[in-house]
Amino acid sequence: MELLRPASWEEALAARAAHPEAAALQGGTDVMVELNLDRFHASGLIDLTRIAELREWERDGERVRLGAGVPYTRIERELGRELPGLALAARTVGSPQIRNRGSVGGNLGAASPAGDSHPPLLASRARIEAHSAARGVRLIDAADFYVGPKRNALEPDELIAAVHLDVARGPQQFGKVGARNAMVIAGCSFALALDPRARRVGTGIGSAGPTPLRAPEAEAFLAGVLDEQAAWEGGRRIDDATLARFGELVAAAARPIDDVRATAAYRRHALAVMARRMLTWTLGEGS
Amino acid sequence: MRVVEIATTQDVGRIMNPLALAGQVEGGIAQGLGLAVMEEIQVTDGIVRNPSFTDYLIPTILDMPPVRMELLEHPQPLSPYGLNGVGEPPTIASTPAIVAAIRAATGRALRRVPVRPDDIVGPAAEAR
Repeated sequence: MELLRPASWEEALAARAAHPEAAALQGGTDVMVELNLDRFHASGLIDLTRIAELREWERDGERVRLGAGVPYTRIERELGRELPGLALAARTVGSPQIRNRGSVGGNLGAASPAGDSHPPLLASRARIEAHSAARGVRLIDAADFYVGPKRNALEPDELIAAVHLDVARGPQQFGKVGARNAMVIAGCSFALALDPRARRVGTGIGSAGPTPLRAPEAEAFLAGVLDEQAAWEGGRRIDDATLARFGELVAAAARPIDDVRATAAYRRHALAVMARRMLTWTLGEGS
Repeated sequence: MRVVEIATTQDVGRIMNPLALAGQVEGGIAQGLGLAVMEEIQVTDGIVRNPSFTDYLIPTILDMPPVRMELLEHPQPLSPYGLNGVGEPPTIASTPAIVAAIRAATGRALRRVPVRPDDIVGPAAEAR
């Protein structure tokens, strides 16, 4: 197998264009597992860890541009205020060692429905910055990025450079359910982001469908209730009927299966419970 | 699912090394805890579906609760120095203790281990 170690972003894009069958390697927390289990079918590896700019993030006013290789450890530590939902999700990834290696870029490249960063990216309407040597830069909405099980919207000659997110304008939450309390692949996960200024609700569902999913009906329902009750700023008790309906709509948006980590029925149940809980927490924060 | 505390009393024979002994008892409890709430080899048509520690889960330090331990030091009359093996008994005793606690908390029958989420909230969950 061929291992390419480009020293610059230009070299990396050239390597990507010349080797469309190779896999991009970031922290290796997905790729190396596939290799060890003999499930790796790419022709080679393009190691991106020598490219320092991928491990930088910057804030420009109301936006954050998060380099694809910034490890979860730094997201937890440095971005808790700007991107609270993503930082909460980062905290649940693997173990400290894995969080030192793993990155949002790697999660997006693998596009596993169980990736912990996907739900908050969907809930906060992130955009993925993809580059190709031939066609330059484009931004892909997170909602359009996940196209199938472990398949994303990247073209064969594209690499992920960064993720663009708005600095949180309201409360964000993330929850994850698994069979133990650390180092666990999600049985299912759920992210919620409220944007009181735009009067928008964002949701993201993980590990409960062929791809990470949004729950558009739940978003519209909750935005309607918060408008009606003038409750966007929090501090008001959300009635039980609203909580129950929101949970139902989130669960209904999932398309789970039975597998070794959980049954489909339990995934739906847990999503409804998490959705109610996250909603209580987000609005509790504003009070 | 989170086990929040384990309390145990054990007849340990004569204590030779107190720290090693506590480690044996806590380690045995951790094994029994794994069987109670997560460890299971899942087999379909003779094929193991979770053949790695990615999907066959064992407890981590975050799953292990504080242990309240009382020791009864009764030297064994028939063994050298009055010593006793102490690691195995808690591997057996802690599993039913944890399941009994979940039964008491949920009112479910819980006739198997490990206890799965579906045994508590799923459609087939049996009331006691």
